[in-house]
Amino acid sequence: MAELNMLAAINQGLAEEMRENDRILVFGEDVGKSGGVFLATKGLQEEFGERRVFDTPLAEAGILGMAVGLAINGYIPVPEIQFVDFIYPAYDMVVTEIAKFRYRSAGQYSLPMVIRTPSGGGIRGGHYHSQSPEAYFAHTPGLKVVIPSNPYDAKGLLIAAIRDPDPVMFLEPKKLYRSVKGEVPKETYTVEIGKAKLVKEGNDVTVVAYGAMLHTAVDAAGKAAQEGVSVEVIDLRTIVPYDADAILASVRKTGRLVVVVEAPSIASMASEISALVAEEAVEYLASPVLRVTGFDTPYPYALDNLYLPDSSRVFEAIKKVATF
Amino acid sequence: MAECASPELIQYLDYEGNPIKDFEDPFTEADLKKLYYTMALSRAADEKAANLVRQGKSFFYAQASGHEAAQAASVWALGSQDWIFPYHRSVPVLFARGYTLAEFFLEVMGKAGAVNKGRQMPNHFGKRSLKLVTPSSTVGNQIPQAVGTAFASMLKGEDAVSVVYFGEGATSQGDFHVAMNFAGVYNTPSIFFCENNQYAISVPLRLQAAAHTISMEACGYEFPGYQVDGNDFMAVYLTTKKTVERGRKGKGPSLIEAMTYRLGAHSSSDDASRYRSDTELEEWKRKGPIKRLLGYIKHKGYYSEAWQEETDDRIKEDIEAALTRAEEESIPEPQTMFSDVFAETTRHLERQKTLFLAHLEKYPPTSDH
Repeated sequence: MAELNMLAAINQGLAEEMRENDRILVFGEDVGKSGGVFLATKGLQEEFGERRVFDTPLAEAGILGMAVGLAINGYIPVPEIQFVDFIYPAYDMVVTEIAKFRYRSAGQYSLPMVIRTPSGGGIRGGHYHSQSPEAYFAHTPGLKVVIPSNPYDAKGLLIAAIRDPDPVMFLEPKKLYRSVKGEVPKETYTVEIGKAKLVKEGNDVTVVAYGAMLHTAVDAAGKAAQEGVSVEVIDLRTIVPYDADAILASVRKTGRLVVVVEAPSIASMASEISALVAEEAVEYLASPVLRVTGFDTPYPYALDNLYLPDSSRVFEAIKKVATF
Repeated sequence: MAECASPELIQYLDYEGNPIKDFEDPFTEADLKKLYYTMALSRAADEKAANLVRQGKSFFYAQASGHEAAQAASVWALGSQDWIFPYHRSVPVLFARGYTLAEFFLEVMGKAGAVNKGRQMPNHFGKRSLKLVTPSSTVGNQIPQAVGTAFASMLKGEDAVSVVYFGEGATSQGDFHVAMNFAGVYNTPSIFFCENNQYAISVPLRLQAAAHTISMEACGYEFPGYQVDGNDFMAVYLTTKKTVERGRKGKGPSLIEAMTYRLGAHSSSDDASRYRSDTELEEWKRKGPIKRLLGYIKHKGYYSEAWQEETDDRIKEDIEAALTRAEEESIPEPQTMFSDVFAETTRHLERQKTLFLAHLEKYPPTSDH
């Protein structure tokens, strides 16, 4: 098995799945000849031609609007939005159209598609190349939302998303694109959407994270272990439909929960998971649930590294719930 | 620029339905009578649906009366392979495409047996088997989607075109221009069909568009735009036919601006007398689409009072039967609220459903629901 970074795994996943299914179309700004600004679609146009991999005019609403029609008429669109921060001209297309087509037509129309887009901070990108808006999409019934934390999952989840009958927002933590490597099988495989991964077993505290924050959580769990606190780390992987059973099973064991997201805290996935545990497992809790999140400010440029939760903030939260 | 907008309004019939120029008429007597049935049925169903709101049997309706020729005659130019993206005023489109009266009233009344299972308020009609794509309420969102279906047809090498309907208000939206640009760039078999009824709710055309005509907006995207008398079924049909043939031959998109007028208010929640004059309304009634079709049928010597009476009676009976059927139908079962969000119901939704149904055991729905 080859060691790949996340970009290479995504690129390989797209290529392998496109070889197996000629209904898959990849398009967006700069994805064709140049292979995308991050090179996630590198070489695809060369292999699959301009009919299946093509550049579009610079208009997100056009890209996702066209994706709707392509999906209606038999294709599986895998459009790229260059940065998720730029999706808002097409936000209407996502929340009004893509999310609701199946429901509003009473199941007559479904829109299998994967909207791939780089998300999250940590690359000194300022407000508009750093945000983590997964909660906006999670709040919209009809969308699945996936955020991988490593190359193996990125490829497997992407292929699962392409094979899924419903539209999937596939948010790629751009900070991890080249910084995380892992073994990735050459052939196609899937990682089930809706299933979390138990990354590290532990008995005292449960930490739930996803995307780039998963690595921060693992670092913090290591620090906690040195102080004798056994932390269980769960990689959520799918934001909608999220794996409530995995979270609840772990919290029933540990009685303590910390949720880590890099998005602002109000109405975030950290809030959602806290509420889930409050509703379904409060009798198991030995301490309050803590959220470690980005701040409720716009994403800052120069203070990028301080804005993002780091392992010290997560570690302090772990200690706090462990000693409550 | 190879082709661009025609400077003159395209018209074949005068306001009485008599030809004002020579043209090749492809309509047989049976065709004309079928078109009359469709247009008169649409008008009658439209008026009945508006009445249901007044009677408190329905909550909303947007009338299409006045738009019959623009819609029915343009659908007449399409084949069953073609995709249609209706908007909220696309009622004649439905009947011209084969959507039934029974389906119409079930949907208008939000009943369980409706094609959309009562999921949407009225005037969001769609039916996959007819290639009618279910719209949302946001104005103009359907326009780029129709470029997508057209693009797909092109990729598959099919000769299908995609027609998207919208009002002139929608042409102010970014999505209209985005879609026109994508269609121009990719040369898709798209027909942008604008029903210019002069008002977007209350805002008149002069405050809506800077361009002298909507049709000329096609020029910037390098494909033809046609302005037609939207109440002249012949002008609508012959122009649409031309754009359909252009699309089928791979020559690319077209824009049609059909000049028309809605005889009713924007919707059941609107009072058009606040912004339109009686004189203007009377003037447009004089140009009415059904009257002109009847005039043309007379001109061809196909008309008889007995035929019209029989047709109009049949329409009345068909509507009463469909309405009775819809009134007898129940509203959707509570648990249906939770299906079709995803292909498979999630754990989360299953839990919400279970808890809610248990709640309803304790507090059964009343007629107020």
